[in-house]
Parts: sequence; C-alpha cells; structure tokens
Amino acid sequence: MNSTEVTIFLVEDDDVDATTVVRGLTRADIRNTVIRARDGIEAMDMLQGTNGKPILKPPYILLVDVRMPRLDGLGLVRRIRSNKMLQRTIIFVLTTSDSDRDRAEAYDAHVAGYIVKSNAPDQFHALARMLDYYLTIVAPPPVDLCG
Amino acid sequence: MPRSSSFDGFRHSDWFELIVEGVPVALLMADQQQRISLVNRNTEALFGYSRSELIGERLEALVPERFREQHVARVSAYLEAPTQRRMGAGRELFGRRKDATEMPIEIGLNPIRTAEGVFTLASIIDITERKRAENVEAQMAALVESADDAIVAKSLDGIIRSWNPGAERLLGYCAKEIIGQPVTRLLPDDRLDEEVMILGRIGRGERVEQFETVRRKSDGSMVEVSLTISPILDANGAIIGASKIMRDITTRKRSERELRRSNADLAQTNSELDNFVYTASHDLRSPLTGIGSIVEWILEDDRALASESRERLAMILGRIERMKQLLTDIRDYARIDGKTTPSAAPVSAATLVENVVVIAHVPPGFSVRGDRSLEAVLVQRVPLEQVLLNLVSNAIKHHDRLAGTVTVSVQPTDRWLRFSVIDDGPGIPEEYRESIFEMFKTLKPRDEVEGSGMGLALVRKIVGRMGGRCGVDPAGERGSVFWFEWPPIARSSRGETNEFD
Repeated sequence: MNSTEVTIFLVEDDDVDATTVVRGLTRADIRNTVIRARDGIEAMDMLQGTNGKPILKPPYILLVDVRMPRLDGLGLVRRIRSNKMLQRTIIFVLTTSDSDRDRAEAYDAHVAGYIVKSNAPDQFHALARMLDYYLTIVAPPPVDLCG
Repeated sequence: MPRSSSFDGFRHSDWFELIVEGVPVALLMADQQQRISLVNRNTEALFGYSRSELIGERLEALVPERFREQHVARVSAYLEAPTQRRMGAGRELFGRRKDATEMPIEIGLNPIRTAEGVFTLASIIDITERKRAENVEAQMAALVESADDAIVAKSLDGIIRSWNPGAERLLGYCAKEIIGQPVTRLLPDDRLDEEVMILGRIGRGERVEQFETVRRKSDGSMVEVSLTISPILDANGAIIGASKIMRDITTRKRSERELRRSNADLAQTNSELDNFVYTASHDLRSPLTGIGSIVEWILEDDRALASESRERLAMILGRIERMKQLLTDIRDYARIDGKTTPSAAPVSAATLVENVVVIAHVPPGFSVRGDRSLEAVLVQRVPLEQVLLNLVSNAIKHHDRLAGTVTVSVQPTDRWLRFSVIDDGPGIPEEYRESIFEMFKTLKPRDEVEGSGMGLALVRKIVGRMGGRCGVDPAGERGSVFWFEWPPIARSSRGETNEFD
C-alpha cells in the first residue's frame, strides 16, 4: 500500500491550528489527503457515515485535539475504541495541554502518540516529517477485517 | 538570775522565781493603784524596758497614749470586781514599747488576793504574727470571693471542698449544693478520663497549666474553659488536694474559630483569584498565538506586500510578543503561593548568581559580578533565582549607557540574608522609589524599553511571601541598590544545613 493513500483526518476546532497543521504538511511536501472535523461528534459522523456525512474510507489516521466543543478529544478516542468497526484506528493526540492527567488518559485509550504543540517555528515541520516516516514505515491495521 | 524586787509581803522562794521567769509569756503584776509591782524577763523583752524602769511605774505607761484614759477607767472597773478572764474581749488591744512603737497583744487577767489587798496578774502575748496571718488569710479569702475566675478546691479523693462565687457564675451551682460532691459532676461523660490524668499529675506534685477543655454546667449545657490546677500542700509539704482556677474561654474560642474561618475564606478567595488569573493568562495566549500565526502566513505567502505593510505586520508581531510576555509574567505572579517547597539541595549563593548571569542574556559591554560575600551563604534555588533574575535583568535593561557593571552581594543579619543588586545606571528619582514596585509600573515607554511592568511587583510579592521586605536606595551619584530580605536556611547547632527530603 502506498503511504500517500492514507487519509490524514484532523479533528480540530480552531481554524488557525488546523491551518497550521495543513501548512506544515504542505511545506514538508506531504501530499496525503487531509480532511477535517471540528469536534468529536462531527468526527464520529464522518467515521460512521451518519447524519448525512459521507463515510470516510480507510486507510486513515487521526490527529485529534484535546479541547473541543460537544465531544472532546479523549471522549472521541474512547468512543472509537469501544466501537468494533473503528477500534483499531491509529490516533495521535495533538494538543497544547501538557497535563499529566490528559496524557495518562490518552495512553490508557491506546493512542499511537501524544504530541504537545509548542510554539517553536519548526515544530510543525518536525511533526509533518514524523507523520511522513510513520506512514511509510508503520503497517496500518488491515482494512477488510473487522474485530 | 537577778532577784525580782520590791514585792513586799510575798515570801520569795527560788521556785517562785524560776517559775515566773520561765513562763513563756510576759507576766506583769499590778497593785490597786495600777502600779507595776512585778515583771519577768519576757515583759522586759516585749516592751523594751528594763525591770528597774518598770517596777513602780503606772500601768498605762505600757498603753498607747490614745487609749490611756479609757484604760485607767477600765482597769479601775475591773478592780471593783476582779475575775479571771481575758482582757478586752471583742476589742483589739495594743501595747506600747519604750521606743513608742505599738503591737497587738492579748492579755489574760487573774486577781490575786493577799493581805495587802488585791493584785492583778496579767499575762501578755504579742499577737503581731497571728494578726498578720489572719490579715493574709482575710485578703486571700476576699481575693477568692471577688475573683472573676472560678476557684475551686478539691481533696485528693476528687471531692469538691470549696467553691467561690466565680465558680457559681461559671457553672451555675451554688457553694451549698456542690461542696461535698465529686468533681466528676462537672465533667462531660466523654471526658471523665481527664480527671484521672489531672489527679495523677497533682499526685506527683505537678501543676496542670492552661488546660483547655469543656465542663458541664448545672443546667447540663457545656462551657469551654481553661484550667490551671495546682497541688495544695499541708504544713508538712504533703499533697492534700488541688486548687483549680477555671476561666470561661467560650468567647475566645468562638472568635478563634471565626478568625480561622474567615482566614480560610480569604485564602480560598485569594486562591480562586490566583487560579482565575492563571487560567485567564493561559487561555489568552492561544488566540494571541493564532493572530501571530496568521500574520506570519501573510508575511510568508504574499510576496507582493508593500514594505510599509510588512513593517506594520512586524509591529503586530512585536505587540504580540509583548503581550505574551505580559501574560507569562502575570501567570507567574498569580502562581506565587508562598508555599514553595525546597526541591533540591541548597546551593551557594555564588553559584545561584552565576546561573542567573547565564539566563539573563548579559549584552556585550555589561558585566554581572557576584560579590565574595555570596560564597559563604547557602540558599534554596527556588524562588530566589526568580527574584535575582528580575533584579539583574532590570539593572541591565534600564541602564542608560552602553557599558555597565551589576554587582550582587549579600549581608547576613540576625534574622535575614540581605541581598543587594547594585548597578551603575541612571538611578531612580526619589518620587518613584515606592511606586516602581507596583504592578504594570514602568518609567519608560514600552517601545523604548521592553517590559511588562510586572518584574518588581513579582519581586515584591515573592519577597513578601517569604516574610521579608524590599526596596531601592541610591548607590551614590549614579546607580541604584535594589535590596531585599530573604530568610536563611535553618541551620543546626553544628552549623550543618538541615536536610530536605
């Protein structure tokens, strides 16, 4: 499977933060499709094809912010993990919160990584490179089998 | 032994003399003309006259002048019908010594009938000591009666033996109903073991001082009291009971509780306020960061941007940085809670200042020097480093020349380490030396000298939380001395620093 086939699904309520991620990916020359949901509820709809949303076809990885309206990032991760169709989803948490509790809860819900956004100028470039390597090297869960 | 003389008509014997002289009281005999006809050694000693001076003298010579007239009359009356009795029952009698001083006395009278007529034999006892003791006792009794505190005595078997009006006011029982009762009647059921403890300590001769507890009143209600209990000793020093002073501390206890509560409320409010400021300063950062990102995207993406627009966007970025710094400083200010726990081993103040120099970004031309006085002083890094960093940064930032020197020194006093940060900058005009420690105060436009105006407020708050003071003095013709008091690390008697775990 070509790594560029993997859709990057960004769940982020803040337009500036979302744009920052997209710009970082573009600058790192990552050409994967990026789609975005603005909170956990919208993300679930897009993952399941509910409420009039077209279903998002695997393979994809999620970049999830922690603080969001309606359903926050950790709530979303827990919902995904308790859903038989979605439970193997690769999820990175991308947040400004460096609280120990958020981090512990995220890893308890088996996230692939917890990334604290800093204000360093090349931080998003590094993040994009990491995702690039990740998508190239790490084998995703099989698409056609569900648990 | 000198012979008693001039008592004609008596047959003297050695036995008689021995008895008269040996009687342990002053003896005196007078005839019907109230003239002294016999005295013994005790009489001489008591009144300070020699025997020869007294014999033949009139009785009233031994009476204070103001009583003499009535004395003569009373003695005459007595001589009409002499009987054996005490003299002056119900009256206080006074004797007058040769040196005109007076003493309270007690006199026993006995008529002696002889062929020469009736003589009066008087025994005289000096009761000065007894009077004094009676006075002391009366004073003590008055004190106990009038005392505002409850004063109670109990015997070692725990039975109440005395009860003053103060006790009646405090506990409601009158003396009549409570004396003879066990003291445990005053104890709440859940405090009965206190009596065992108290009697145990009294039995060992110890005092119980200001023991705060609760006692039950006659109506069953409880009163908060402070007890001071002392052993009562008999003349031989044996413990026979306990005296107990009981003070009503209900009001004090109530105001203590109220004070504690309002202090807790105040601390709660303060901490909520600090939390609010902390959260607000944190949350304000994120939109600010967003604004900064957008401005940067415009600068990156729009190559055709007019140079004037680029400058203005750069100004926005400058303002954003300033505001971020301000938010950081406000957050730090709100975070100071005074309960900083020592996090690491103490370091020498010299090492600490070296660290500060590294963080402070000292520009070329400037030097920051640690005085030798710092070497001998051990300090905890946090939060002293923050204070010194602010003062050193300020000294450099507000310097008016391209080169300068900042010196940090410390002077241990009896209670404090007094740190000084001395610069050779322009100095602070006297009218500003107080206000520069206020929040958001700066003396120059922000565009000239970057600063949030929080630095010295932060210094003052941290130093204040540690209990010390801070201030600024002129350093001479130019320059300032910023000083502050810092608590030293507690030292053991061997001069070693205490361990922090």
